[in-house]
Amino acid sequence: MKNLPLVLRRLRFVLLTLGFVAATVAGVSIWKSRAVQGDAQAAAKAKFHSRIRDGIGQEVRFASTGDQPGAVRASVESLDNFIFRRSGIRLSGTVKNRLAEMESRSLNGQSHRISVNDLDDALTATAFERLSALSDDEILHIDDSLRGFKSPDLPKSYGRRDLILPGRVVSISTDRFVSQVKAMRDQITTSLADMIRTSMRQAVARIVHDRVSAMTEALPDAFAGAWDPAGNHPGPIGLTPVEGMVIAYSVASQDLLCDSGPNLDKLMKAMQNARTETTKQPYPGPEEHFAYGVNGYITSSPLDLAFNERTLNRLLDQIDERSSK
Amino acid sequence: MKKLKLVLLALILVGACTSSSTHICRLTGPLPGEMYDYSFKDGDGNSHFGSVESTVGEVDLEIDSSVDCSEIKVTRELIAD
Repeated sequence: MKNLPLVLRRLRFVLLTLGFVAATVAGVSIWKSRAVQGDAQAAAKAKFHSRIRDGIGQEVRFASTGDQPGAVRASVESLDNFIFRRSGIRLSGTVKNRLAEMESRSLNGQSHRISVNDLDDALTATAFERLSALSDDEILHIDDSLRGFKSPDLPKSYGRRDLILPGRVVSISTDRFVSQVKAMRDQITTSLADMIRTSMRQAVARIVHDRVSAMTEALPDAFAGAWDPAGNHPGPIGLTPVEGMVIAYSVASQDLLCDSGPNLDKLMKAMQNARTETTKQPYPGPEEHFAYGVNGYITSSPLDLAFNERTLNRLLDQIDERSSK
Repeated sequence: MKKLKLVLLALILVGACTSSSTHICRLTGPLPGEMYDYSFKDGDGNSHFGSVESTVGEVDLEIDSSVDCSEIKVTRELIAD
């Protein structure tokens, strides 16, 4: 028994040694795991950017300084076709004429490009105005549209649908959501208006910055200088009105602007096959459905309310106001 | 032809309370541009399903506090060329 203290000291030493080895192994494992995660993130980001180039990069022609009015008009038409093919929403002739005229002024230096922070403000102001004018039926439509793709032959296992927002899923009943939006709408005329506007701006800015950052990295020619990836903040060069409209569409529709038309069709078909395989029940096909917008097959959104002529004209007013010299 | 594969992922409980009846489960490290399907059953036995396309950062699921985050099944739809 007299050797017990020595045994304990040795045991402690052994435990400390083992602990050190364990900590080292754990540390190396965590470092390796993070490195693997980092590699996966980098690879996924590269693939994401490549899909953006295949999508909007290939299907929308961005005009450049010195382009003739015809080229600017072609750029606006390509954006209109892009939005229509993916969401079923058409820009009106008035909106296209105005957008082409504003784009020409921006490219020939008669007006400023809009800064990313000013685009946050323009989108917030437009959304705030739109919120104040929502009818009860429109609020119900928003609720319905944000709950994902619906079809009478959707398998029962797809059950209850939650609200899908950018980067957030909210499990809330229709009654509760509708009453909350109505309360917000009615509070816009009260002293709570500033608080609502501030919250909206924060939410809008988070999504806008995310989109501008991705576009700058994926399409550096068109979006050069709009975002500073090193500092992760808006860059020194703003956006043209067409670029601003692209970001507005992406924010309102939750369309990440990836994949050309044929590849988007293949993706939706693959989604159908995968879900049919998972549930062992036939999942409805994408035929006769758009990928985005109202009841979009990939992501559904109330784009018809955000991208109608009246709302887009208000958005162009806001952009024009902030771009004027 | 693109093919989708489903991969089971794990959720990490954040434990942030949003109101007395809901809490947030956070999907950490989603890959940009990938689509994630989730499903769970709430306290009343109703099945929930949805899908989100991630960009960067995290995806938060604000759900009934009776649902344990570990009970949420999340799958990533891998797009293979």
